[in-house]
Amino acid sequence: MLAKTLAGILLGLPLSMALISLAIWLWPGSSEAVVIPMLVAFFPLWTGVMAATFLFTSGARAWAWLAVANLGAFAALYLAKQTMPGL
Amino acid sequence: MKTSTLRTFTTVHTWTGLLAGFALFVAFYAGALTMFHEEIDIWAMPHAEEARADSMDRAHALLADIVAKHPAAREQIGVTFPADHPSHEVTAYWMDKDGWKTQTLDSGAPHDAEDHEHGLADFVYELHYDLGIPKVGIYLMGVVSVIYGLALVTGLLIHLPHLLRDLFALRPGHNLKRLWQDAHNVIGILSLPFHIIFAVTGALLCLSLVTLMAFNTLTFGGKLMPAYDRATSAMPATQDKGGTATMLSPAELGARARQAALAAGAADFSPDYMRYVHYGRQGATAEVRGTSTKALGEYGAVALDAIDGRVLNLQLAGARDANHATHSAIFGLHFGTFGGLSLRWLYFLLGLAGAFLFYSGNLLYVETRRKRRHADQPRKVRAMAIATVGICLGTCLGVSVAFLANLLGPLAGAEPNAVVKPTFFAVVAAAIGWTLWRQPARAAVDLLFATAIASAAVGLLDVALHSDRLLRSLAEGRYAVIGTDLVAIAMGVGFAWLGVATRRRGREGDPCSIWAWPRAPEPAR
Repeated sequence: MLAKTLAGILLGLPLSMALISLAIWLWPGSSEAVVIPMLVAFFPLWTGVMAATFLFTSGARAWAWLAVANLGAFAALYLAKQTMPGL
Repeated sequence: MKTSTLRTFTTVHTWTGLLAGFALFVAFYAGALTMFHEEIDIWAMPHAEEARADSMDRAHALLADIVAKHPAAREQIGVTFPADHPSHEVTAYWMDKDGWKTQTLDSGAPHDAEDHEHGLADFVYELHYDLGIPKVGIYLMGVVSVIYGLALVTGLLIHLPHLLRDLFALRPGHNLKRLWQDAHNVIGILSLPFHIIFAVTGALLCLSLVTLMAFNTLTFGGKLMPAYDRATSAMPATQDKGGTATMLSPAELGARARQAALAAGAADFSPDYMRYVHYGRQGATAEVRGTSTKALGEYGAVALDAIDGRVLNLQLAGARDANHATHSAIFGLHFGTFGGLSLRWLYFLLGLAGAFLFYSGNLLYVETRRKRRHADQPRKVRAMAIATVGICLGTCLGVSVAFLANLLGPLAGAEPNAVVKPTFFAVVAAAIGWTLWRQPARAAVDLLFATAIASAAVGLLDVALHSDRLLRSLAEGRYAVIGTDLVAIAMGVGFAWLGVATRRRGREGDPCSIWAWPRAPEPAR
């Protein structure tokens, strides 16, 4: 329970940040035009990730899957920043 | 949903509720009162003078004087417009080497923006957003808002399987826990949209700076901050072109901004704050912020050339982009400014209902863990009951007594601003001590009756002490004072009713409960 809670807080935070940043960066047209609405979605997204983390069968699985998700999200963000105009 | 999942979410809901519940109770109680911030402010200052008609002309001279004495203010200096509640002073703001400075029309010297004095209304507001804890309190409330969001999600999920069946069920009867559970659920579900608004906007308002800085460095390589500035203000890119220039006055710029706003289709526009950049130089630009009615996000802004008054940019209800509309809506939704008086009453009632939600949540914790066959209750149940009664009811009593202190302080020669905050904290501390000593069952009754007396006294003593002011305001058709008096008396009646009910439970309720008063054992049958 504690392991899942910590995973949701500590890994859910960067994951949510990466996903929101990615959404801003990939937005068709002007990325700057959606900065505020996207940032508003950050806290609900993080909350959702924290709640969903409790659905993993074990703490170790939660940490592993969230770590993989973080790697994927940040890799995608890195790629997007290399190839798209963005902010 | 699997039973094990349901149990996990129940545990999360319990713990997040316990962690955040106390802070949220204080925030909702104080926040409900803050819906009538202006009325309380007017009530709290019976001898306030009317705002002088020439204050904006004096503000013009004040800004020129500040820039002459503090060259750092040239880069950016702002000033508030008069408002019709008395603690609001026309105040200049600028950034000096060591932080934000303020100076009011009458003070004559700059102060740190942090340490201005708090009147009663401002103190209640402060209690709402930082629990009265300077500096770190606001971040604490931000974290509380995130935990609150998690409690909302998990609460909804565990209630989901029987949401429709139980929605309108309120089952009074022998099973008191069922009644509390029904009340907790029905208020939680029916005011869910309102709670979602506060969980989201509360976190944003408290943590926006931290969040922005984290995003700025972690994922945007420093490009977010400038974009955020453009996305939330109307100020275009500006350049200090040197030389000197005569600035249009705040009053003139405010009037021109209003004209431009009306021409752009805003229902109306009342300026409340404006700022200059490059004050007194060629290239000087001004931004006037103000509010329009008939919009969800009432805040708008107009940028003008500070030398010739040309309109450079508009961000107003009906004429703005998604960024400005969202930013403005965050404030409108949180502060309940998108409607009239009836909306403020709705927010007030939903705020009190929210406070009840957190209080009833704690009671459910106690009730779930109660030993049903013993008068003695486990230590954690006792501790929780003591904390709930001491902190929550202590806060209600503290707020009412702070109103009394504001009213009676001047009679003892004390400055109201100096007694309000210490009085509140002293009363809360005393209430917690009292609860430890008397045990929660009796202390709850004592505190409820004390709050009832204090609240009723707030209204009755004000009528007695400041009857001339009351009659004058009524004759002028202003209802802030009588409204505050009547609401205080009504809340006194409400607390007395709660006290009577709690005493009845203590005397006649289930004896195997933390809420039962010690009584003689019943004769064996």
